[in-house]
Parts: sequence; C-alpha cells; structure tokens
Amino acid sequence: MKSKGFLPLAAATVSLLCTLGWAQGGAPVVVGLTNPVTGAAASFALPERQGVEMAVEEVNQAGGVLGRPIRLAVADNRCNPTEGVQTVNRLINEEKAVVIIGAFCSSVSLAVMPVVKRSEIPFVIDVSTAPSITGLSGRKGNNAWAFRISVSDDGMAKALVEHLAARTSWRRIAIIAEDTDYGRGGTRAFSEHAKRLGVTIAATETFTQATPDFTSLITKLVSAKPDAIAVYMLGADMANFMKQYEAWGGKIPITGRFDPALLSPEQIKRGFVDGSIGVLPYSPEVDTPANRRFAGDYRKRFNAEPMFQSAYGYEAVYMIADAIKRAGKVDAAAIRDALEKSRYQSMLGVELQFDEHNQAHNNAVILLLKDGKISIVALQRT
Amino acid sequence: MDPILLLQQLANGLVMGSIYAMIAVGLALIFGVLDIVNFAHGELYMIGAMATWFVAERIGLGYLQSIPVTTLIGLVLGYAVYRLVRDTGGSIERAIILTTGLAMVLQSSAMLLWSATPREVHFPAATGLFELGPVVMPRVRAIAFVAAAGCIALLYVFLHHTHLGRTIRAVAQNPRAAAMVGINAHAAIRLAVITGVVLAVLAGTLLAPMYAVHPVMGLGFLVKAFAIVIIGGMGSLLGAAVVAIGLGSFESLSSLWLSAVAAEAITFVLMIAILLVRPQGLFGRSARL
Repeated sequence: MKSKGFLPLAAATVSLLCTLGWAQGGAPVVVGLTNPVTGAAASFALPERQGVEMAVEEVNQAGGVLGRPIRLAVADNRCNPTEGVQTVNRLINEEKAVVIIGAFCSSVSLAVMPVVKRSEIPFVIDVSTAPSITGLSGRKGNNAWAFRISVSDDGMAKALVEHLAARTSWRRIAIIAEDTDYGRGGTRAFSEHAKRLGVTIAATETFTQATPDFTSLITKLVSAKPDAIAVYMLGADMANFMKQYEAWGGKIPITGRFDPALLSPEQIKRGFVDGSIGVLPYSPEVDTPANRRFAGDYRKRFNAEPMFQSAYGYEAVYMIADAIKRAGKVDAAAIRDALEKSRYQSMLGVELQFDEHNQAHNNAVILLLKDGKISIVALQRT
Repeated sequence: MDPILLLQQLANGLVMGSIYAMIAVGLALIFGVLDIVNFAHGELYMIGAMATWFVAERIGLGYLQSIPVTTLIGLVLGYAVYRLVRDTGGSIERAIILTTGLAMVLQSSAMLLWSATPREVHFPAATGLFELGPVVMPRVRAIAFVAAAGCIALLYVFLHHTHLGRTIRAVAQNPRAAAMVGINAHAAIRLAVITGVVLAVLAGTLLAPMYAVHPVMGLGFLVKAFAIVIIGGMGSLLGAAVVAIGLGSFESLSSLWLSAVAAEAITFVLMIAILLVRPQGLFGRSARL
C-alpha cells in the first residue's frame, strides 16, 4: 500500500511545487496555435506543432518571458476556414491567448485574418504560402495584426529565378504546371520574375491533376528546346511526370518547385536530370550553427527529420518571445508594435524584418542535383 | 507546322488510343452483358499495376514473371466482381452503389497495404528508345501498343469466332432468346465479367512500367474510359475501340494547338453533343458487342 501511494503523492508534491514556482513568476502567457490536428492535412501539420512545442519548452526552460512561462493552447481547425474562425475566437475568448500562431492552410489563414484584426490580437502566419496573404497584411494591407514569416510562393519564385538569372546560363525556360491555384500561381510568379530578369519563357503547359499520361506535353516541352523545364506539380503527379520524362530520354534539367529528394534513389543514381536546380523553403542541411543545433535537437526529440513547417513553427515562437520581451508587458497592442520592429536572426542566416506588408523575407534554399548528389548551392533572399 | 512533330504526335496518339481501348473494352464488355456501369474499373486497373509492383519489385520476381500472378489475381477478382453484381436485377442504383463501394474498398486496401507512396516498376528489356524513321518513342510504349492491340484482337476473335464468345454476344443481344436456344446465360455473363476484369487488371500490369504506380492512379483513366464507352455507345466493343483510338489521336494532335486542359474540356463537350444527337452513342445498340 505504501509503495502504491508513493507515486501519486510525489507527483502531487512536484506539481504543487511547480505551481508555487510559477506563481512566483506570475501567470503563464498564453500563445494560441490554430492548425489541423485532424483531417487530411494533419500529418503535414504535425511537424509544425512539434517545432512550436519544442520552442515553447526551450523558452520556458530559459526562464520564460518577463519572468512568466509561456503556455501553449492548441486548437484544431481541420484545415477548414469556418472552423479556423471558431478556433481563433475560442483561443482569444476562453484561453485568453495574447498572440496566435497559425493557421497552416492558406485558405484558413485568409479567413482568420479579419477576425484577429477585429479582436486586435497579433497573428503570426508561419506556414501558409498563398501570395494573396501578403497584399492583405500589414499597415499597407490594412491589417496591422497579421504577420507572415513563411515565404510566399511568389517569394520562392523570386529567389529561384534570381539565382538562375545570375548563376546559370539558362535563358529559355519552359513551364509545366498543374491546373490548380498552386500551379497557376507558381506559373504566374515564375513568368513575372523571368520577364523582369530577361529570361524567356519558351512554353507554358498546364494539365489536370491526376493526368495519367504526359506524352504529348513532354513532346511539346522538348520541342520548344528550352534550357530547363520548370515544374509546378505535387506528389504523385510529379513522380508520374518524372517517370515518363525519363523514359522519353529526358536530358533537359528540371527547375521550379522541384525537390530532387522526391526522385527515387535509383533515378538519382542513374544520373537522370543531372544539373537540375530546385528551391525549398528550408533544409535541415543548411550549415549555420543555429540550424545545426535545432536540427540535431529536433531529430533527437522526435526521431524525425525537421521539415520546413517545424523550423518555421519553432522560429515563430522565438520571434513572439523576443517581441514580448521588448514590449516589456503582456499586452496585445504592445506585442504587435514590438513585432513590427523585429530584428531576428533566422536559422537560415538572415536578419528577419517585417516589411510594410508585415511579410518577413527569409532565405530560400537553392539545391543542385549533380553527379548523383544533392547539395545546397546558395541561400537566396526571397 | 513541323511535319515530323505532326507525325510524332500522331504516333503518340495511336499508342495512347490503344491504351485507352484496352481499359475501355472491358468496361464496355461488362456493360454489354449486365447493363451496369462498373465504377470500380479504374481501381481494378490500379490493383493490376500495384500487384505487378508488389510481385516484380517487392518480392523481386521480375516484371515478366509477374504477369501470370496478376492474371490469376484478375481471375479471382473477376469472379468476386461477378458474385457482387450478378443479382442486381437490373437495378442501376444498386449496381452504382456496389461498384462504387468496391472501388473504395480496393483503393483503401491498396493504401493500407502499400501506402500512397508512388512506386517504380522496372522492365529492363524495355528501356531505351524505339525509333521508326523520324518517329521516336520509349520502347516500353511501343511494347504496350503491340500488347494492347494484341489483347483487343484476341478478344475480337474470341467473341466472334469461338462458341463461348458467341454465347456472350447472344446473351448481350437478347438474354431471353439466348436462354430459349439453350445458352446458359449465367455462365456467359460470368465469363464476360471475368474477361472484362482480367483486361483491366492486365492493363495495369502492361502499363506499370510506364507510369508511377500508386493507389489513386486509376482515377484519370476511369474518367476517360467512361467518356469513350459513352461516346462509342454503351456496350459496343467496336465503338469503344474506335473512339479510344480517335480520342488518343485527338488529344495528341490537338496538343499542338491547344492546351491539354482545353482539349479535355472539348472531349467532354463533344461527349455531350454526341449524346444529344445520338443518345445511343456512335455505335449504339444495333451493333452491340
């Protein structure tokens, strides 16, 4: 009986001591996180939550903010705009969150933005990439409460094309994109930056998602004789396109939103599309001290590679903690003003500042596939 | 217009058409004898491709050795589909729900068993390019064209020049009259359904080395096969084959002037227009099977 009673007693004592300890430092500062905990997007949002949790724990271990711990309140928006609005209202009214991170899916972030403006609570968008968010944020976008640290699809295209124009001899590029917001947005952004930098778009092809056969498109792309083919497509379509492009003897390198790691190891070993250049928002291989430490701790803790969601969720918490410290008080308006003046050294080696649209311009990671190896060739400002 | 590019796209279109035909004739065959649309047809094709990957790559038997195994899987699945749909008693709703349900079961099972990761099937003998004058194509596509054309020719000979095949046609044309002259309609229907399913599964095996293999690969072809069977005249094999070749060529040639998305829209506008003018399809009931 005695041994059975010991554990609960010990636990009660520890929790009592903890409560007393925190009570001395003041009530916790509540940071809300709205993202899809369930539903189709949940598996992609898990790394984001892990990054956020890891940062909150680290900040608390280092003494919290203004002597108070951060408490994370998570609400499940299931990647649904309506539920996104409900979660934000709940986080603000019931959990008393003073700042909110979210909302993962771009459509949900866009739905939440007017709500945080009305409630006057700072909202840090850490993962959503839709270009339209930029125009609707910041004092210039008439919503001073919305901040974005994630790189928009437009920013990714800008970084990539600037790299291609400056560092390669490619002057004619063909585009193939899926017929979705993602594909059309990518095509538009890539074409605009190409035009600005004197790169010719040799052909633009679109296809319906889940198209089984790319033969006629590949024939057309190749007959346009481009220096490279920019791809804007996702998952299985990408794998299917690459498989067929290889069978057609594809020699022209690939670029665009291309992650060489998505090729099969055999394809890479065979030297397929050697010389391709892709762009990613983040890579655990980026060699800065801060990123090495983050990636190492993350792997140890979660037994998984950190994704861009993890890194951006992690840095969102640190930027918020930094703003609260500079604000000197836990007050939504003061935190917003402090966020606006942020100067935060990102793990990707650039000082993050918000522009007049409250958009931070982090580095993007430029990757090269050469001789069967994928390497980071540049960090390019978005 | 570059004549070589024109010739190239025509060749691409013929290959594409033969692939469409292989998938569509099975759908038309099943509709012909049972008057039901098999919504699981695309998933049966997917199972063929995924089973090929499993046998050839995961177990490591090799591509050609996987063909007998997938044929066997096709026979078993064919019988299962037959048992599932044989008693629908002409109820269209029941058939739609049953085959849609089957499609979901097949797709979810494939995800559960093999995950959604796109897979690669290797056919080492078919790598490289096949050249015929100025026309070039991957060797694996040339082989697929010959095999698909062969399958369809065999099916034609089977239906028109063997006793068993003739019983299927008889049942498709008039089940009651067929029964009156002593044909076992159940056996004929069973044979037709199994043949249709085996064709879908074998199409999966045939195309596995050409495409990324994953649990949702069936969807794209299913939509095309529906359009083909409807334009061709529900249940008409000749119609399905002719329209399939026509559609493949149209898509390929039109891509010289139109975007792929526009060509797809035109295909379905064409389908609606043909149904308005000829509700029975181009090769309607009179020429069934």
